Amino acid sequence: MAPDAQALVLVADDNEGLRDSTAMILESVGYRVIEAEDGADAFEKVTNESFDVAVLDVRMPKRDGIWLVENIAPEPPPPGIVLASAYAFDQEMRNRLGTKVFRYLRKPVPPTELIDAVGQAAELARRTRT
Amino acid sequence: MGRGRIVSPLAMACLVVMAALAVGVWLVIRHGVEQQNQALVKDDTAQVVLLLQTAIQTEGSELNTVGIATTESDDSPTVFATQAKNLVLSPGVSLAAVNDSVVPPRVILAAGPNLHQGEQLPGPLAAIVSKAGPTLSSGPLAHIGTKEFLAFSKVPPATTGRTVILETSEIEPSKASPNESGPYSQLDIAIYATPTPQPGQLAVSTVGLRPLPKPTASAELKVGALEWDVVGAAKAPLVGGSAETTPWVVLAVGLLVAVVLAMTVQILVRRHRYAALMVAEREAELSEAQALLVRQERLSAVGEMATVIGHELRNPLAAAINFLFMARNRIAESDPDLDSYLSRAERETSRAAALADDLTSYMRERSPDIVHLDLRAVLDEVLESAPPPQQVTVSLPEPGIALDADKDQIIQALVNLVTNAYQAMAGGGSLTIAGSDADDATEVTAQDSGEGIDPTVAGRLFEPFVTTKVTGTGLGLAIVKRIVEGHGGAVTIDNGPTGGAL
Repeated sequence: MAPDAQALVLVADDNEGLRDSTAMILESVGYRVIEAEDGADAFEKVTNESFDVAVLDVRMPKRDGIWLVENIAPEPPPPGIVLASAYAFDQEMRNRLGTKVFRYLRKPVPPTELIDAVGQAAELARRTRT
Repeated sequence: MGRGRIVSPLAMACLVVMAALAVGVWLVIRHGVEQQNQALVKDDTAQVVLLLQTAIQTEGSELNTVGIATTESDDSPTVFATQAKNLVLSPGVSLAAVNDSVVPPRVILAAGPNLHQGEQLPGPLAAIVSKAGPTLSSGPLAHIGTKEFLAFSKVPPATTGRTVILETSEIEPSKASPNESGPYSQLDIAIYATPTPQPGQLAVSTVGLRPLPKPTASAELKVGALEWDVVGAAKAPLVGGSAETTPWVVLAVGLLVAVVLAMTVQILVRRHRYAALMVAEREAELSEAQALLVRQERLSAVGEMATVIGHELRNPLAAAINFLFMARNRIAESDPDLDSYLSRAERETSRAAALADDLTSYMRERSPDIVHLDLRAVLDEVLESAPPPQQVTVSLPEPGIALDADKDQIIQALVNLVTNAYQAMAGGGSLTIAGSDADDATEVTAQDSGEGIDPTVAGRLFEPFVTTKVTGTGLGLAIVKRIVEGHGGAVTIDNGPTGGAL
C-alpha cells in the first residue's frame, strides 16, 4: 500500500490515544513509526534520527509544532512534514512556514487522508535524497 | 421637557413671600410718612391759628382806638372819619359807630361801602351788635341781600355811652383766595365762623368751596367769646418729595427683588431637575451598558468555553476514528453485522466532529474585516472548498458583481449555504447562484431544485440547532445568518414548490 514501506515516520502528539492510533494505522500499512509525546521529545528524536516523514501536532507541551517546523535543521534534508491541528490554519501561518510543510491536515483526519498524505510526503523525501 | 416650563412651587412661594414682604414694608413706611405729614400739617395749622389770633387781637385794639376816640369826641364825624380812614382801606371793609340803645340799632357814623350813616341795622348785624362787649365779638356769617359779611363788634372800654363799634367785611367764600406766597403758602386754609366746619359758615378758603385735600388738621381760633374753626391741609406733602416717594421706591425694589429671586429660584430648580434627569439618564445608560457588558462577557465566556470544547473534542474524536479504522481492518469482511455497527460508529463520530467544527465556527464571533471582492471569484473559492457532488450542477453569475465583505467569513457562509443545497438534492439536481449589486449592498440568491424546506421549520431555520436533516448539526445556517447580519445584511428563505431558495 505504501509507496515506501521502509520509510521511517515520526508521530508527535501529546494525546496518547491519537498518537498510538495514528502510529498503528501507519504501521498497518508498513511504515516504521517512532512516537514522541511532546515537542521537546520530538525535537530530540528528529535531531538524532533521520526521518522520512514527521506527522506533527501543532499544540504540544514544551515545544509546539510550529517551533519544530522552524527549527528542524535543513541539513541533512529534513523529513517531509505533515502538520495536524484541531485549530484552523490561518493564511498568515501558511505564508510564514512556506514550503517547509508538505501538507496541513485538520483534525480529525480521515485515516485514508492521513495515509495518502504520509505516502506522498515519503515519496517526496525519497526523491529529495536520491 | 414640558415639566420645565411649569413654575416651581418653591419659586412661586418665594415670589409671594417676597412680594408680601415688600407690600408690608411699603404699608409701614407709607403709614409713617402719612403720620409725619399729618403732624406737620397740624403744627403748621396751629401756627396759622396763632397768627390769626394775633390779627384778631390787633383788630380788637384798632376797634378800641376808634371807639374811644369817637366816644370822647362825642361822636364827632371828623374824629371818626380820621380814625376809620386806615381801617377801611381794605376792599369791602366798612366801619360804623352804632347806637344800640334803640331797636333796631341805628348807625350814627359810617365809613366804607356797606354801612351808611342813619341806617337801621339789618337783623344779622343787629344780633352781632347786641352781643358786643368789652372784648371783640363776632357771630355767624351775616347774609344780607346777596352779600355775605363777616362782622366784629366791640364796646370801647371805659366809656359810658352805648356806642358800639361795628366792622363788616364783605366776603365771597365761593371765590378762592389763593395764598401763592408768604408764610404758610404751603398750606391750603379754610376758616369757618363756627366751632366745627359747616359749609354755610365758610368765611374764607384758599381753594373756594372745594373740600380741602386730605390729610387735614383743624385748630380752634378764639374770636371773643366765640370759637372759629381753622382747617389746614398741605398743598404738597410737607415731608418732602423724597420721603413721599420712599415707600414707592421700597415697594418697587421689593417687588423687583421678589421677581428676580423667584426667577433665580426657578432657574436653580429647573437646573436641579435637569441635572437629576441627566443623572437618571446616565445611570440608566450606565446600568444598561453594564448589563450589556455582563451579557457579552457571559456570552464571550460561553463562546470561549464552547470553542475550547470544540477543539479539545477533536483529539479524542480523531483517536476514535483511527481506532474504528483499525478495527475495521482487522475484522473479517464476511461479518456484515459487525461491519454495519462499525459504519454507524464511524458516521456518528464524524457527526460529532462536524458538530465540534460548527460549534467552533458559530462561537468564533468577530467583527468582519471588510474588503472589496468580486462575487464570482469568491464563489469559485467556495466551490473549491465545497465541490458539488457528481449529480449536482451549479451555475454561477458572471464576474463583475462587487461584494464588500470579510473574505473568510463570506466564504464560510457561502460554503454552508451551498453544502446545505447539496444536501437538499441527495438524488441530484441543479443549484443556481445569482447576484446583483446596488450602491451599498449586494444580493446573492441560491436556488436549488431539491425537495424544498419543511414549512414547519422554515421560520426557525436560522436558529441554532434547528435542522431538517438526520445528520445535521443545526448550526450551518445559523452561522450563515450570523455572518450576514454581522455585515449589516439580512438572509431570507423563499420556499418554492420545487426546491428552496435562500
